[in-house]
Amino acid sequence: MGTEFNWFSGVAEIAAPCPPGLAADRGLQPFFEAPNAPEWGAALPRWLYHECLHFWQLASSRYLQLIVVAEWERVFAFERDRALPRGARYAYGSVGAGEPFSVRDLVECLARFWDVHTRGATRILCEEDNDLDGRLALIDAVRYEGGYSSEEFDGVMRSGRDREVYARPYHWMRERAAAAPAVRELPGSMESATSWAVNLLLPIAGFVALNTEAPVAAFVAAFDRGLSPDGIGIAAGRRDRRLSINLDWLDFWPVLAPGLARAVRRIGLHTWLGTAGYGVLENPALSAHPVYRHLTSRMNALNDVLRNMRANRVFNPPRDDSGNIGDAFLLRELAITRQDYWPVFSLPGQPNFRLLLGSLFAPPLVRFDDAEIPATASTLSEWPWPVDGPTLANAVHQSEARLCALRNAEAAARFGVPLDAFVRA
Amino acid sequence: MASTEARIEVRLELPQEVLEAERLIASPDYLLDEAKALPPDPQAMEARFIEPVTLIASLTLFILAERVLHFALTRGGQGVMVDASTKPPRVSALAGVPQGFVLLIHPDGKPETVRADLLPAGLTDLLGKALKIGN
Repeated sequence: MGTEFNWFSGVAEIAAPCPPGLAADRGLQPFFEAPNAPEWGAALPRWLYHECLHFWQLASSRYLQLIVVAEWERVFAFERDRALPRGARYAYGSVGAGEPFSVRDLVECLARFWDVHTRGATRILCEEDNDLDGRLALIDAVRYEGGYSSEEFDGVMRSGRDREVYARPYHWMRERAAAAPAVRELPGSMESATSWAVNLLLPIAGFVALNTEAPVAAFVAAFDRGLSPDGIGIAAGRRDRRLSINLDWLDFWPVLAPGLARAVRRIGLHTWLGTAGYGVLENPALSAHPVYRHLTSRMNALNDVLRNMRANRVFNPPRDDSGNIGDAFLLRELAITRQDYWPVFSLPGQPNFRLLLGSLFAPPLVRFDDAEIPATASTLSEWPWPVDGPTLANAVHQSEARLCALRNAEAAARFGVPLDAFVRA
Repeated sequence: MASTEARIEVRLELPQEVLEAERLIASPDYLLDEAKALPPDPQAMEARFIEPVTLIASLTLFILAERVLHFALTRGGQGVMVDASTKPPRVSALAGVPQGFVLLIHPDGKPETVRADLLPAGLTDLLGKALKIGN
């Protein structure tokens, strides 16, 4: 009935049949090699990619990991005491006092941002029969080959299912950016300057924010810092002449990420970004989780793959001026992941990063209507998971069952029936 | 024994996509009004690509029982709450009842849980008593 990622068990539920091309022994790899291939259909690519993005968010967000840890501690307590543990204290879906949106809004907005970017705004508008109230014909006349306009991107980000959840932070950012003096001084139309500022800052500020204990306050501080003349203003002046947002992300990540992290520290929030040991996020408490205890080995695999990629290009480095923008991406991708792998998670829409994450960090279990694909099937053969497919799938099933027992007891308490009322004999 | 032909009006709460499927089987014995959007659940851990909606449905008791069991047993869905203490009674597949169960709230507010792997006739009887129709 629903398509969702279960943060606590690692299952990505996709409410659709598994396409034949994914049922073979390479798992999700064919999808991540060509996420918009026609054989996946129109709806499934965004659903599948969106839910995978949530797993990548979890793998790279201390805030989200702490929620999972807190919830698993409740599972352990329930199993030990056979009584309901105290409710979790995180406020994931509610808007805090004085804050413009909830953490969930931010998380969903980021995932939607990337699924729209990868699917392509023009394609989505066409699939949704949305002509932007007649403006699409005008945009069609001036759109460059293979690209989409900022108006199309904004149109998709602010419409569609769950728009209230997805659109709130995006709306807020657009208003904030449009009012920022540094953005108003950028060349070109206000519309495109605003859209560029939002698109450049959202993934980096979002990544920084989700690695603090108060993501929304951190995001506001980081985003505002990015909108200053020495943030967006300098970036605009140093943009690559090809004016590609992908190049902008890669070029400015090494400057913006630590800069925005400093802005977060200035409002009294802790973040590990930019500190000594930068590059080690794995939360020890996750080692007790039946599925996520394998995250450390996946991070090690990612490190190895990145090191290999660099080694393979030592004598044949990608050239910036080869005429192939893929080379320009790769050159920068190899450079910014030299110190650590966090740009991979912060910029999962970069084609090479997406491919890496799709294979090394497929969700532990993807469940279609008619099939389950454990992550072991999707990984590169040289970097296998430390367990085999049936063992991983079993660990996920066990996690689901244990979590379900707690959820059922909570529902029973909420409805005033005995704690075991929803237990199947 | 409740009459399976007895009609009742209820407030349904469903995901939009489930409602779309329900409209395909609408009939004179299963009338579905226009739907209104419900706000997303603030506690949900994800947006889930679900648009919650609510609408008034007019249907026979037997069809109500059949649809309740269908919702409660749908893979990946939730169980169903049938709240007979409200007017019109509220039938919700969004209330957080665990899948495979029906939570019946009697007119006096007393809750009762029922497994959804009942025969529809058994649930028809239970619903008829709770909703005080067809007796």
